[in-house]
Amino acid sequence: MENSRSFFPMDPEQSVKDPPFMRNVGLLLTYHCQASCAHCIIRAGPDRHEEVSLEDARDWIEQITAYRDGYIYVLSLTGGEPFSNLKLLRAVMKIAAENKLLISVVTNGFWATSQGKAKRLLQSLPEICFISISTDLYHQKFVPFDNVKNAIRAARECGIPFYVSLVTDNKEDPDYQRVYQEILELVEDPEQIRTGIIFPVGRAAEMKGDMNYSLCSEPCPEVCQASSSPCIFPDGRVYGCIGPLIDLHEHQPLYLGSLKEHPVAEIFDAAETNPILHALRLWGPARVLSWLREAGVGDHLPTAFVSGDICQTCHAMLSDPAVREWLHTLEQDTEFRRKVAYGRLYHLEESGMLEVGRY
Amino acid sequence: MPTKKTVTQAPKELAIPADLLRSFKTDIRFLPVNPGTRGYIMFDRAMLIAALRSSNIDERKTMATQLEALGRAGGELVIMQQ
Repeated sequence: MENSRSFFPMDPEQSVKDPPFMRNVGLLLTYHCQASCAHCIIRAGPDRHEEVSLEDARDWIEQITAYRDGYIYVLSLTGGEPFSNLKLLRAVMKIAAENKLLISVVTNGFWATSQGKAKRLLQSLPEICFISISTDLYHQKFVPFDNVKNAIRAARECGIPFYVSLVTDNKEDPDYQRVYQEILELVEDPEQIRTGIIFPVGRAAEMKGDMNYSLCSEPCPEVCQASSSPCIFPDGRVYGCIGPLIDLHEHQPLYLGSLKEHPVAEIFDAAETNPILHALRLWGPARVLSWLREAGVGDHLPTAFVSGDICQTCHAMLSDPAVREWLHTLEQDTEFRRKVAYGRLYHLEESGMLEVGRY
Repeated sequence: MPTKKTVTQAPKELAIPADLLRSFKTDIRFLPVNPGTRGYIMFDRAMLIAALRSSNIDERKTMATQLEALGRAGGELVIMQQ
């Protein structure tokens, strides 16, 4: 039987299409970073030295490559700052390239102290297929904006597709807008700038009172796309998304397991049939929140939401043990699992859950 | 770059039950206006096969660039499952 799909055009009214599930896997190489940004979700910094061992990286990458006969295409290397340990970065990229994975890297650009140096460094890392450069008011306290400019120009000269990643607590903030404009003048194309809202977790939890969020009474209705790409941490923990839920550790439905206890295939197969994860991809946290309200769990739900941001809703909702308990019951419900499985087929053209389960 | 729509029917055993189909047809999903800070790449089958067979890093980079350009042009690619 061939379950084939072919090319389809994007809806011209729609700027983003659902990313395919698990074609892209993240690997957090290190917690070390030159910066100790006030907003950092994993509290990376100069004093952090935990990193993935090369032995584990090799083992996991080989398992990732073998998974469903090459199902995964892209390995996204992140941190901390992956360029902190260049020897490790080179070694991991070499292994990934040998395993025919395409590689993307997230960086703060600290290494781009001159344009020439930045270009030479990128030329020495030919495995990089895609690069994401993070800069914003928080990063700029530690990494000069000139370095970011050098990194952008070097990526362009090397022909490496890139985008610049910004975070803010409020897109109306004049300082954010100034940084955005500076970057836009450099890259020219707004498509190459991605803005995220700061998650109120990790180190940012300590600056909660200083956040200038734009709040509203109803959650953002958007679907979740981050949960299409799981991320592996240096100690082997695997999360369905690298958003604020990681702050809830293993006490949440998007914690997928540990590679120290289970092989990649087992964890990824379980992710394929994780109904809460796919409900978030299909309908987003706002829909899940509406189910909770209907179920009478309203007292445990947040009442204020950050405008235009689904992650805060998801984190606030799942932070409550009663909500997690209700969702745990829901994920055992055969009718719910059936709806999610067929919903994936209808909306996302994904048959993975149906192939594994019987509905 | 092929972007035409090909209508395919789900295999019989994966046909969507009528009760669910009705609800899905009226289901409204809100896709993000902004793609957020996490990037992703989707692949055309031919590009994918060529990229995976190639040990030439420059060729892989060219493909990545083409994919990016395709996305900007409004094209999107889906994976073939056997």
